[in-house]
Order: sequence, then C-alpha cells, then structure tokens
Amino acid sequence: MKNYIIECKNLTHKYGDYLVYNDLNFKVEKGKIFGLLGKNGMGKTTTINIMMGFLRPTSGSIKIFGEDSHRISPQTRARIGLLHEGHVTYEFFNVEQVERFYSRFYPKWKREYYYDLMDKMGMNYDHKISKMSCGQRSQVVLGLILAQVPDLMILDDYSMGLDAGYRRLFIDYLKNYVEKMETTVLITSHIIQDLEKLIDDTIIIGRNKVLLQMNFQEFLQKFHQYDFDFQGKLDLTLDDTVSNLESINNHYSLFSFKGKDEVLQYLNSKNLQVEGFKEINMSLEDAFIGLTGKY
Amino acid sequence: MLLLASPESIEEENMYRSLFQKEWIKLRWAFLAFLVIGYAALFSIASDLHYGIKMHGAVKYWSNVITYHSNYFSLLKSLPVLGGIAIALLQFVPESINRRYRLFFHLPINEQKILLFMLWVGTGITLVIDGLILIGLYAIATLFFPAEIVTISLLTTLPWFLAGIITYLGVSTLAIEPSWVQKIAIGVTTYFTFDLLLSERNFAQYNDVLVYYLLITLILGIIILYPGHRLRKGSK
Repeated sequence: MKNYIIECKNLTHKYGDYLVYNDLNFKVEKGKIFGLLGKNGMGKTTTINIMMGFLRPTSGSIKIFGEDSHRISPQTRARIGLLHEGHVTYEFFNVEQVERFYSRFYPKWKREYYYDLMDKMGMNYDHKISKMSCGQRSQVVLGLILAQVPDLMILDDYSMGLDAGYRRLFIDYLKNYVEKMETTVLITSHIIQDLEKLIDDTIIIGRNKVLLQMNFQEFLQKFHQYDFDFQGKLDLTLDDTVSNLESINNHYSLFSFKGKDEVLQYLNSKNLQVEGFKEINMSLEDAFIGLTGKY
Repeated sequence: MLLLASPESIEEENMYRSLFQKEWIKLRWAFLAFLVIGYAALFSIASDLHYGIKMHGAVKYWSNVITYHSNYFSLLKSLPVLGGIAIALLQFVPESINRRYRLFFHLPINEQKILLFMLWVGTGITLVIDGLILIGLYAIATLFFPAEIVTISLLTTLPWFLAGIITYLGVSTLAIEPSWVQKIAIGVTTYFTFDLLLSERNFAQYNDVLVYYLLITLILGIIILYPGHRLRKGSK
C-alpha cells in the first residue's frame, strides 16, 4: 500500500468572487518529488498557504502526515522544511546568527549541511542577510532547510528572483541531498526548464482547472507539438485531441497528447485543409507553455 | 530530591533561548539608544537642579516645587511613550514585512506562546529601560531633595512609564493586526489611553486610579493573541 505524505482532497478556493481553482485533488507519495506547476497567479502559493494552515480553503481539505492542514501540530511542523516564496527569512540576522537561531528548534539539526553550502559560496559568517543578493539569500534559506533534515520539503517558487546559475546551484544541491536522504519534496515553480531531471510526478494547474496530472517523464514523452499553415481563421474547441492551439497569422501550433496520425485524421475529419503539417521537437519549456498557453 | 528536567523541557527552553536572542538582536540598539537618551535627560535635569538651587537657594527651590508643583523632571515625560513606540515597531515591523510572520508560525512551537513570549521580552526590555531611568531619577532626587519630594517625584513618573508600556502593547498589537479598520481602532484607543496618563496637572495625581490602568495594561498584554490567531488563519 502506498504511503502518502500529502493528500489534497476536493480543494476549492475563492478570493471573494474570484475562483482560484475548483475541486483540486492530488497526493504526494513518500520519497517522491512532486511538482505543483503552473503560470503565475494560478494558485500555487495559495495551495501552499492552505497546506501550511496560513489560509483556510473555501472547501475541501489537505492532510499532511495525516493531520489537517489548519491543525498541524508543532511536532509535525518540525518534520517539514518550508521555503517561503521569495526566500523570505529574518534579514536582521547574519549567516551565523540565523543558523544558531534555527538549530535549537530541530532535534535532527546538522549544521555541517548549512556551513558546507555557505563555505562553497565563500560566504563570510558575519555577512548580514539584509545585505545579500536574492541568489545568496536563496542559498542561505536552502542551507537552513537542508540542516533541518526534514521528512518533507515544501519549496514554494524556489526560482523567484534567481538567475540561471543560482537556479542550477539550487537544483543540483537539492537533488543530491534528496537522493541521499530520501526526502519527500513538493516543489512549485513557474519556471520549468530546470526541473526536468528532478521531478517524479506533477500536477499542472491552469485558470480554474487542472491541466495535467501525471508522471513527469510520461508527460515529456507523450505531449507533442504539431505546426502547420492554414488559410483563414481556424477555430478549434479544446478537447481530448487539442490541448492547446496557438497561432501567429496563418501559422498554427497545435499541442496534443495524441500521435501525429491521429491528429491529422482529426483535422481531416473536420475538413480542414492544412499545409506543411509536421511534428516539432519541444524543449521542456516549450511543452509547458504549449500546455498552459502563452496568455 | 533532585529534580531532573525532561528532554522535552530542555528542548523547549532552548527554543525560547533562540527566540529571546532573536528579539534581543532586533532591540539591542534601541535599548542602548534609549538608555543613552534617558541618562542624557537625567544629566540635564541634574544640571538644571544644581544651577537652580545655587541661584535661588535650596529652601526657595523646594518650596517652589511643593507649592506650585513645579515639575523639575518633565524632560522625562514623553521618553517612555517614545521608547514604547520604537521598541514595538522595531520588534514587530520586521516580522510583518513580506508576510515574514509566516516564519514564526511555522516554528515547531505554539504560535500563541511565541507571540506572548515576544511581548514579554519587549515589555521586559521596556521595563528595564524604565527601571534604570527611575533609579537615575531617584539618585538625582535624593541628592537635591528631602525624602517627601523624592517619593512624590517617583510616584508622578509611574503613569508615564505605564503609558510607555501601554503604548508598546498597543503599537505591537496594531503592527500584527491584519485588518486596517481594527488597526485604526487599536491606534485611537492606545492614543487616548496614554494621552490621559500624560495629562496630569499635579504631582502623583493618578495614584488612586493607577491600578485600573494596570488592569488595562494586563488586558492589552494578552489581546494580541486575537489578531495573532486571525493572522495565522489568513485574515486580511
């Protein structure tokens, strides 16, 4: 029987009349890295806030280690390493003070994980956090979460404000650690290209709905982009075959989980005379934008 | 019998030590600054007394103080309130910027306990500053005045220091309060409470009602739990 660390059940949330999402369901299995992905403003941070009890959902529930998200006990909180969006931390501390502060809260604390990362970055221990760049601060926060040796890591938009180098450093360090420690991870991001070799399962949320929920590698293998030209205005409804359709003038990109022949057959069945139909190799970012849409 | 502390209580004690150090790092410069300002004010009061007594003679100066309630230490009056505001802002604003209060809500310790502990540390530091200034005033007053004037002088300053504590608690609650309407309500209430305590006309005028103000202070000391709870649950 599978052991689920996080169980999100029929979660619906509204801000006033604005529906963030409706009936969101997902489970995070022990030892897996789960990506909660979507463009900005789709409700990723809202989900984390509900998950950590900072926000009550309109309906539905999230359980973490079997406890209701709005009633997480201090003992369970000690098992969760939480990275807040924007790498929020106490900026009045310096490198050494912040480590000393957190070390007394967590029984499994391993200060060497933190200082190893700080030393790698050549960070002075008296360097004040308020004077750090966003990238440096992200490494301090990551180091603190690693030193906590949590059973579950929740990383909310780790990529925010980080350049490509810091994003890679973050991911490489995290991957190495998680493999060694078998930590369960829930990671949210709107930048996807770094996550290809990290994530096991994913859910991608769009406006008010779940766009995809599957194994990440399976998504990469099964999702396709087909480009073609069409004279006139092509008006296709999104359905099982057409996940998304983007166009520039008469040039169209159709995104689908179906194979090339099936899609061609589908277009023919609608009497659409398309020209230059071909499959395009996609990067992970292309696939993500293809699924979630540019707008 | 030798009582041994349980591992849990040692762990919790360590957590509180961490929390204390966090508050101290935020407040240490304000603590030092207000002590320096307080003692500078005391030095000025002592110089004025020295000069006044030298000019008019001790008896005339004393009689002026007793008859006309001439307040020779009024320089200290607004100091506790200013200290209360500064300490509350320095303590709670860094916790609120970027919704940083989520950091302490995630610590493995009950958040209401953390909030109360933070208030106790802030109140404690305010009281230490007040106490040290009061000791200074006592030392100066005993140098220049008879015991009766010394006692009445110290009693007159008590509402000022109480106003400082009330201001500290009010501004702290205001800083953590998520709703702007309630922020304004707390601000107005705090203002009128401390303003009343600072508006005495005679020496030790508030002595009889001081106990009621003390009661208000105690209530203010726990009222922060309400906005704290709402903030935890995501109120706007």
